[in-house]
Amino acid sequence: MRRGPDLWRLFGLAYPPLVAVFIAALVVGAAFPGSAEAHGLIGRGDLPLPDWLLAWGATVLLIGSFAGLILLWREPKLEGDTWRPIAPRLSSLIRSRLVEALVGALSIGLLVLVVYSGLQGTDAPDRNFSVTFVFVSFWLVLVVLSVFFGRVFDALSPWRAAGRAVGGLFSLVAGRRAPAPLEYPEKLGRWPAVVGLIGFLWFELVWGQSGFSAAGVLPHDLALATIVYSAITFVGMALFGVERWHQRGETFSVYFGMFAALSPFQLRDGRLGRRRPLESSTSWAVVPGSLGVVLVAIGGTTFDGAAEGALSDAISSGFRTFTDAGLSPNNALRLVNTLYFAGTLLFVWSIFWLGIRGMRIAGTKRSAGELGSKFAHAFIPIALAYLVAHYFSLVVFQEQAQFTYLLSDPLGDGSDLFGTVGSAIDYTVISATAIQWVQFGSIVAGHALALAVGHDRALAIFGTSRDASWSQAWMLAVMLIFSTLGLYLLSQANA
Amino acid sequence: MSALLALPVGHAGHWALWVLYALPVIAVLGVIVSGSIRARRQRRRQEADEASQEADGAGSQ
Repeated sequence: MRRGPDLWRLFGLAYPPLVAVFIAALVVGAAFPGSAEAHGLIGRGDLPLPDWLLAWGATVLLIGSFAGLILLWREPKLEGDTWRPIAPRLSSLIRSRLVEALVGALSIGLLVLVVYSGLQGTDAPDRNFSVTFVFVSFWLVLVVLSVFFGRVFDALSPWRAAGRAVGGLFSLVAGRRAPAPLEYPEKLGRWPAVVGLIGFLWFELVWGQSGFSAAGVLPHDLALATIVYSAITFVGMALFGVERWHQRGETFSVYFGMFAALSPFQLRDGRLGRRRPLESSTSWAVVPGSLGVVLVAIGGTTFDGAAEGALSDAISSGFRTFTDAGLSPNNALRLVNTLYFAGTLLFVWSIFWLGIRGMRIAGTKRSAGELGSKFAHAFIPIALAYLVAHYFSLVVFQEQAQFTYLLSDPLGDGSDLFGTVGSAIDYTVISATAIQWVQFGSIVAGHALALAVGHDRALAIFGTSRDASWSQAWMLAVMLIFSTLGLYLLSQANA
Repeated sequence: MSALLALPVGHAGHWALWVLYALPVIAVLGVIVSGSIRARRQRRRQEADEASQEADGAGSQ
């Protein structure tokens, strides 16, 4: 059982010069921020350091975390099961039929409101309840709730609630439970959810673009997409059973469930319990397709960030090529965005496999596929970090709209149900500098957490062998690439 | 030749900034790649030594 002296020798040789270069750059960057700005190297002047230097700082912090983990975290801590029941009264409240029925009715009501406001409301995306609700309150806020409180979407899913209600009615009439006609193929795993996730992201980021100023998805299109997705979900539930499809095939349940795996809270046999944070994630990726879910989640945010900055010139150039070839402006933009979206997913996939292949170069005899599924869960914190970094300000600002004028006037037709239609978004609620620190902090913290999760898994499967230290070194390389990429895209999008 | 150089030079502002971001990552990646290759060589040498020792042991018996 060796600890890999080669790695330590290299680490010992490489780290001090890196820190020295960083400190030198820090001094130069802090002393002459104007010179960097004058040469177009930074976009804004409200952070004390240039963005690229913050990226260097993130690298130094992550390498320091890597060293700290190897020195101090010597045994797997997340592979066990520390679940223990808590708050029995809260458990029985959550489990009660009344609460389930009320929450289910509310979620179905919101689904109906999304469709109704989309079909009947204004075409202006920023004045229609449906768009902000789906892309901010649902898509982003539920991620935060899942990270803190676990699988809340099990209770909040309108499709599961409707499916369970129909199943309950069937039982009442027929006197027996409705059997699922088909057995869900195990090999299918979470792949239907991966397809759904790509479809949702494409709809949001590609179809929704009707100009370079990000006009957003039209409410009418969103309503139709919601109807189509609901139909697919109900067919899946009818074929494979409500719970089975909800757990494996339903895109949003799988997506929010991935983030819920980071949470310390978990319902087990109807009882609420608490376990070590991140512990649930170690068993999350055993189902086929899980790696696809996490990489597509990262890829979607990466594309969104890149399209606003790093890729914008390339997209414009492609757009011109396709319009010159005779395509309509909308179709040209959608085609070029589709190509870059696919390319971004492929790029993220490649970085992940670079790390996995790297582990094999170092000498482990495990197959790349096995290593890929063993380490997939370590990338959930990165998906979270990317989301927080890219959408934190959007949530802070748009949720003000959601709970004031959009709720009061969901169709955008001038009604004022709660007397808050005259409210406006307060953009001074948080400063641009604070947002940038949140972005930087979330990228660094997310990648440090990812390193910790990967390190714990490496200890569990390799022990303290040389394979373990090399697998972690490659994991570090992948984390550094993702963190630097994330910070670069943010700087370009913010510029 | 000048036409070939015009595009990258004209867009130097973009890729130069990217290189600035990537420098430490490239440095660390270089250390890890070279170290991994060396570790693999070392491992293969050890395996070969062990195999030859086993063969010697079997021969002497």
